[in-house]
Amino acid sequence: MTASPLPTVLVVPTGIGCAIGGYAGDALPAARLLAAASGCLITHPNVMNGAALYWRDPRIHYVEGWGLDRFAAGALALRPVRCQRVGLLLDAGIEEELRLRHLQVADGCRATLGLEIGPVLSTDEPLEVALELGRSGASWGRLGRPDALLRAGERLREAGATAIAVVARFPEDPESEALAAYRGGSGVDALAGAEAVISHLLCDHLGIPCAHAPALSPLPLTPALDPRAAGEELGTTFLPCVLVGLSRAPDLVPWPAPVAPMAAASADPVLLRPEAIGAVVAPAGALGGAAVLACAERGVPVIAVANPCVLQVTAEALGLKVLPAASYAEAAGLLLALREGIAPAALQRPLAALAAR
Amino acid sequence: MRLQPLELRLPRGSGSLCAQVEQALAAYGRPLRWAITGVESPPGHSDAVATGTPTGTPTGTPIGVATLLIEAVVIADGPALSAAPSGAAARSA
Repeated sequence: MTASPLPTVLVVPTGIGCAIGGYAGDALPAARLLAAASGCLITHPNVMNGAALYWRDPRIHYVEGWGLDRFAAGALALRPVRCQRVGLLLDAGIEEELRLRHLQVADGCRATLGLEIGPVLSTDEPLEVALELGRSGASWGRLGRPDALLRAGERLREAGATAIAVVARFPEDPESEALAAYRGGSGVDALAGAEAVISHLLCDHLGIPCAHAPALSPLPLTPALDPRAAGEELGTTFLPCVLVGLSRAPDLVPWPAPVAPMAAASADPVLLRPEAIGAVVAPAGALGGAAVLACAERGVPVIAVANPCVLQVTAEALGLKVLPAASYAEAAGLLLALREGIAPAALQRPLAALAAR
Repeated sequence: MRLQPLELRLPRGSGSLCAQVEQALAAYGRPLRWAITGVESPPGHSDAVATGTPTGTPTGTPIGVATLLIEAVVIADGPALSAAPSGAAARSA
């Protein structure tokens, strides 16, 4: 491979029941493939988080959804780092035994993976997370005490954390049909919407990498567990993948820089600038998110992958021009073509002749 | 400070979709997270255009204009949402 990397944004929206990516980090294989094809993949925690399962790839940049939207819109650049100091923010509403489990997971990541974790702080009030479904069927959520979340986040940043892993106590209904459906491989991740609100709010307020892991009681064993959901039921927490992801999450740099952008870029050669985005990959029925639309409006090629979900927000509905892909494998081929400067149309048949105007 | 969930119906205008959506949401607060979760084509589109009959279109929606369905969370000050500003039909989610 001689072509330079083609920075690519991968979006698999959380909480909309994507066949690939709607479960426990089950879009990771696709992300690994797209990272190999592009040489530089920027994606969000929903893609990378497999609870107890994770994968570290130096070509993949772990950027929370709020940061990803801002990067795609040209308002942030990304600065890769060797190591973040990950502060741990625990919801005061987590019961003591479950809290201890999370602390032991953090200790395990320090001892076994060598991650820099700490300090650990609790919110001064329970966060009061509530789950909701939008009319579309997508997962959303509410936070009763956003002020408590932000106060704790500020204290952690002041105490030296350069990234924050937040763990909030989520409501649970182990007998619900929705949960049974999710574990069986259908329906949407009911937690996803509230998770996104929590991490978006923290990133927006603090301007540092943040990600969320829900605190839930372990579920009883079921023989009907879909392989895509299995990662979430291997351990007692969802925290390991978040700590690993955040440990190398890039810094979020306001952009354009106060000095001339070109001067800033030359002074900081590792900076990943939004102008460098070469492609965005998203599910063909979920093209209405901020990151995808921002890229499309800047002329960045959009690769729309057939990945069924509860939404039908297609390129046709929005009037977008996209490169369709029947699979993430095909999307990888398109990325390679773009990276090598090969016109994707040359790979299709029929190929219409040029007409002189 | 509070988080306000919203569901908006927004007639699609020309130009940037991002700008249209964020401008509509700004009437309620600072957008934190949003997505277009549906697009409704104007009902009986070709007939409506041919006859000029605005049947079935939301109030104030020009004939032949699609409607964007938006789900969002905004950061708001003050009391919870009660009435929607004109131009975008909204309900508190």
